[in-house]
Amino acid sequence: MFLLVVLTFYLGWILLTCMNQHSFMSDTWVQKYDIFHLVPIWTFFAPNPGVSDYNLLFRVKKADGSISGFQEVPLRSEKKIAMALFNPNRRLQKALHDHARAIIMNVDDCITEQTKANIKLTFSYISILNFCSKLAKKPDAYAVQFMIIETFGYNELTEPRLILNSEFHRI
Amino acid sequence: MNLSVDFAQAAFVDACIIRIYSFAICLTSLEYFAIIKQFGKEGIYSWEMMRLNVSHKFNELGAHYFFNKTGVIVILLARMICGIYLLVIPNSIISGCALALIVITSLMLSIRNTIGNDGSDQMSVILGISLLISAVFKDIRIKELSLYFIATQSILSYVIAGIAKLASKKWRSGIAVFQIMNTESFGSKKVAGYLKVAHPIAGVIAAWHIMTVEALFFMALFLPYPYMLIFLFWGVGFHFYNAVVMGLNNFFWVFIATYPAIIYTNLILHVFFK
Repeated sequence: MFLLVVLTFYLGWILLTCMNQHSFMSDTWVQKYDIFHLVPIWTFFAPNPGVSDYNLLFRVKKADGSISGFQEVPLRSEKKIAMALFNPNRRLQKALHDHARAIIMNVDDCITEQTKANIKLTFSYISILNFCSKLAKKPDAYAVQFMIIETFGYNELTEPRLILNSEFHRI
Repeated sequence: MNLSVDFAQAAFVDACIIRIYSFAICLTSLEYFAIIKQFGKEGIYSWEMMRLNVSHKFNELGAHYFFNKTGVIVILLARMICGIYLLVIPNSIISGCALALIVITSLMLSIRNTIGNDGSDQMSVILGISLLISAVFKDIRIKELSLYFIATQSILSYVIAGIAKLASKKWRSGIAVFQIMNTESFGSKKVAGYLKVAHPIAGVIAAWHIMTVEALFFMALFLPYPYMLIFLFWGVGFHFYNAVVMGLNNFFWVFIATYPAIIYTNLILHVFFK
């Protein structure tokens, strides 16, 4: 009895895994109900591999109205052999990378001013704003602005692209 | 020592997988500890932010107590302790409890961290649940089924990745390898520099080499032992490269943990069709 239950469970999981790949239309509904992210997507770096890097910058407006220069948030550390064993920064980079991608998808989908304004209400926008607000630790910091720029690698294949330039938000 | 005999025993294979998996769990927990500041109010993994993207049902269930910084520290400590225990004693009654705790905390982290997860986390959850099922049911047939399942998911991961790449014009033309290696996130200045000045055929060879081996990875189940090891050695090298050059270190341990299941399934298949 248990054997049959386990067999069915495993077969179902394998079936859902096959259906969850991007070529299937069912991938969206699988992901909708998969709150534990149990059904994997195995199309690593395919069909369209990421060919760019995202860069996060912020600047601070002081109480007297003066504005600092843009400061880059270091998202990537220098590659070292030790990273093959221990690479905690990858988690930080991945989180910011995911946020940047989510914002890009919203920006790309934007057609109207209203939808552009709605970006400010998205999880990723608020998260990055919160992150940058905490980085702006100057005591007289009044507001913070962030910018996401897409660059195209070591050998710049194309010009950097401005993804998002936020408004100043009061801290 | 005859490895093929050892790898034909489900209990031995199960213990091998648990040990490598436990190491991966300890490593991931340590990495999270190293950036634990990011789980505080000021961090990118702050619960105050993450809760915006989590179902209200979980928020109502008192998720705050488990998912704030202190809660995450407790979760990570529990995973570390269980991981170390399983590394030493992979097969005991307490091992089942340790696996259960790891699986529960993995699911909790999956709910909490709606961003920042990757394929190694997904394979890790797959491994955890199937190893737990294997530990809970003492039926040897369920243990075998769990090993077949791990092997199938592992093979699927390579084959699907290979087919998806074959379907991509960027990969078929060879440009994808250069473009990925050219990124600062996953690439290498040296490799990108080499590919830029090298003959375009270098990129084509690299891309077709990866696509072909990945798409044919199912052959690891059907080639007779020890020839099937060619694919597994390739996999070890592939993940080692990805760890050193691309920084994808967790993939190495989690995917290598599935290899004993592939060897086991291969040996059983060959006995069955003999």
